[in-house]
Amino acid sequence: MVEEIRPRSAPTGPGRLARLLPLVLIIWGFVGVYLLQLTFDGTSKGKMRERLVRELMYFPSGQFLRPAAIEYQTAASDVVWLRAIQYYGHHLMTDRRYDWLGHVFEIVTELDPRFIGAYHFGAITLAWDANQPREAIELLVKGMRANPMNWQLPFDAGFIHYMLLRDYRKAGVFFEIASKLPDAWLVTSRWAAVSVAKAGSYDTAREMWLDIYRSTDNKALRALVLRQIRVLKLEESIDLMQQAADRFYAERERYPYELEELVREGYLEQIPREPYGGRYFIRDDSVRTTTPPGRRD
Amino acid sequence: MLRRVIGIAHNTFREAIRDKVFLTLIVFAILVMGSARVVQPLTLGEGSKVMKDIGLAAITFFSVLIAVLVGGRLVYKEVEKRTVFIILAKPVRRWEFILGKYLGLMTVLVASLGVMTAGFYLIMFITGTPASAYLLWALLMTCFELAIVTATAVLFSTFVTPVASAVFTFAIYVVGHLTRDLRLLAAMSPSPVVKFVSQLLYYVLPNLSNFNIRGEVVHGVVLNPQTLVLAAGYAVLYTATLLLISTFVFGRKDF
Amino acid sequence: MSDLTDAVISTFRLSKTYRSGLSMRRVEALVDVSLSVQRGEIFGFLGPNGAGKTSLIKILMGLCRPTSGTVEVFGRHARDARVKSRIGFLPESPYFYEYLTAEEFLRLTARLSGLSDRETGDRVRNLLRTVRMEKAAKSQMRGFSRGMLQRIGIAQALVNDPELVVLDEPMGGLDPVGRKEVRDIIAGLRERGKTVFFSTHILSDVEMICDRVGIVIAGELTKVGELSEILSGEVQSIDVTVSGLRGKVRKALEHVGQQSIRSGDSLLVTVRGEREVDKVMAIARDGDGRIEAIVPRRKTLEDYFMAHVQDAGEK
Repeated sequence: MVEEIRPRSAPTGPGRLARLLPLVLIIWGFVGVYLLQLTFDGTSKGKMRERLVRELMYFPSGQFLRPAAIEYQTAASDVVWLRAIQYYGHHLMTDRRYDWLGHVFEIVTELDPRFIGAYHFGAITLAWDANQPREAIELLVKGMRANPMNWQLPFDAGFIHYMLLRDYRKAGVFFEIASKLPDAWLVTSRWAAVSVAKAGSYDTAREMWLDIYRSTDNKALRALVLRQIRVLKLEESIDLMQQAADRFYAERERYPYELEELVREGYLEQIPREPYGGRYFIRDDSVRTTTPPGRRD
Repeated sequence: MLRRVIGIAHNTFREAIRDKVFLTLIVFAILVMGSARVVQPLTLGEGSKVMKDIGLAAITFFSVLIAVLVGGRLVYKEVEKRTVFIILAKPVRRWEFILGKYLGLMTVLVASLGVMTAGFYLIMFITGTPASAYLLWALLMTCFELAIVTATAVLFSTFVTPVASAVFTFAIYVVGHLTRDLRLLAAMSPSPVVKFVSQLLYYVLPNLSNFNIRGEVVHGVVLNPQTLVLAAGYAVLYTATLLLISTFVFGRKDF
Repeated sequence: MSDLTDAVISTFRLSKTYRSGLSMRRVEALVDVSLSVQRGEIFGFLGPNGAGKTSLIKILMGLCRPTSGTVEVFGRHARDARVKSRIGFLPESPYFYEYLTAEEFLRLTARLSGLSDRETGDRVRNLLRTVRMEKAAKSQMRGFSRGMLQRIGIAQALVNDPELVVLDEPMGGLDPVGRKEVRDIIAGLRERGKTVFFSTHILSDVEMICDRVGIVIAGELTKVGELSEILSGEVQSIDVTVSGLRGKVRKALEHVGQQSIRSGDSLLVTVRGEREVDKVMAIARDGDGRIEAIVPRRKTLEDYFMAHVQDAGEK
């Protein structure tokens, strides 16, 4: 007789659940780690670290970073460049304070002394946004030493001297140097002559800014130029109206009660448009605008 | 004589090509170069510079890693697996063995450098980065640098384990780039001992900063042919010296 | 230069001491070993594991240096490269480049031995045929069994048609069929006028093919010479195999012999001498049994070994 062979019931041993247990534990382990990390980041110590990193405060000087980059200094300079752009962009959107901008551009240029774009962007943002024209000039001089044949850097130095430091003689000297270097724009020799002659002319300033605009693909730099042109427009308009008001005073022995009076009496063709959407008015013998200084970006 | 060396070199080449570490590193290098593309929009107009910098850095770095990791195992593995017994039982001189292994590895490195460079130019073409053949000078200098690093790896692999060899070779690589700065720093120190030691290190250890012309090449600076010739000569001489030491160490080895 | 003694290999008071690493313990692998191997003979180098066989062979092949003493191969220093072209070597438990095929590997060794490309093709083909690896020639050695590797190992040792063939444990890890094949190959080498020096710890291999034997125990060469010299000719005991016995008779036989082993209805009785053999035969005949075999046992290599290894152990 042949025995029927039946399969035994399901094999004993660790059940399916028990086999999954290690995997489940691992997943929960990672979840726990993730939650703990979130909590840590939320604490003051975590926030402090984040601020340090964001603020570049812990960045050592370029002199130390040079050897640390072994032989990849130029690539490292690009990494720091990206960091610098982030830093600048962040503070442009928020508090407009650029305390570490000079430091980080020092690092970028220390790692790659031929990085003209960094000197260029660095100097202009330092001068106008960070309000540190002297530091900007220092950066440019460092760049000129490392790149003696580059015309852009002495041009920038001349530009800053002309616009901000109002040292027209030095500006002329720098423009002169720039104009003699290879590939220099023809404009630089023009500016060399002009800066001595038409010191402080709004048209010159605007033309210079436009030259900067045309020379670069750097979006942030172009945005800066547009900002500065608006500032220039404001100053020029106020200057124009103030002169008109002063002529009014000279002839009528009083200042106008309102700016429209200047137009009616023919001292002014029209009231120029306020670049920030505010309104010009006159008070205490001075022409002002409703837009407060902090809002003029 | 030459046939024996080439026989060993060819065999070494085939072995190294199969090494998974080697293939992984090449893939990584290409990935890193591709990542420069991702970053391009954030660079405010400097995308071309960033692309070239990262490309050259990646090719150099990963080539060095290949030399360090694959080179460190080269001689050791033959001894450990005792394949060296069979080789040395034939009329092969010890220096022929060392030279063969070295040339095999250098061939692998140059080939991988070629592949990575092709990938680099392809990526530049795709991203529209203006690329010129001028960049190749930097890679030529990297080859000289690699010649020395590889010889260092082969030397260590004749008498230490692969892990230790990798560590030591990489350490020499890093220090080789720092000796110039160290020497300048030491020149400012009042202690004559410090000055002497730093001078000694500078001249004895390989001065790899001789071979870094990436900055010049990316910015289009004109190169002095004298620099290239001197660098080549230095690399050849230093490599030959290291291989002689390796032959000596290997020759004195009891198996 | 005349080979007066025609000694292919000769060592004089060869010693090798290893220092083991950190503990600086000294291990004396070879102590004052002097031997010579004549042209055209098969010399078996015999000893238990760890006796120093591989050390001697490594010194012969120039892979390591002796601590003291001299060694000459073909009248020259062991590390002389000119000598290497006349020697073929197979190391113990060989390992080859596993990504190469058998044929590629043999071509490589041929090239390293100085063969021209033209010679290489024929030589490799012949070798593969000799070691019966023609079918596997194009397979990667990664998947080879121990026996296959051993055969390729022998092939590469013969690639330069050497005058002297040095083999370290050539029968290691092989099954009886494999061992016979290797023995046949070695015997064939002697017929072609080659000298063979091989080491082993397997006694029967030596007994079957060697002309002369060197016995090394704990680094010392205890005996060198022809096998028959080493073993005395005396008969120690006689084994008689009887079959077809019934119980009572069997018991009687068991009493006669020193020992007996039963297998089915056969009985193997070990007796001391001729007289006892006669007794056994008488008892068997009376009990209607058959004498299957009468085998005299001479002192074997194994006996010699056991005695000396024990002595060495006690020292």
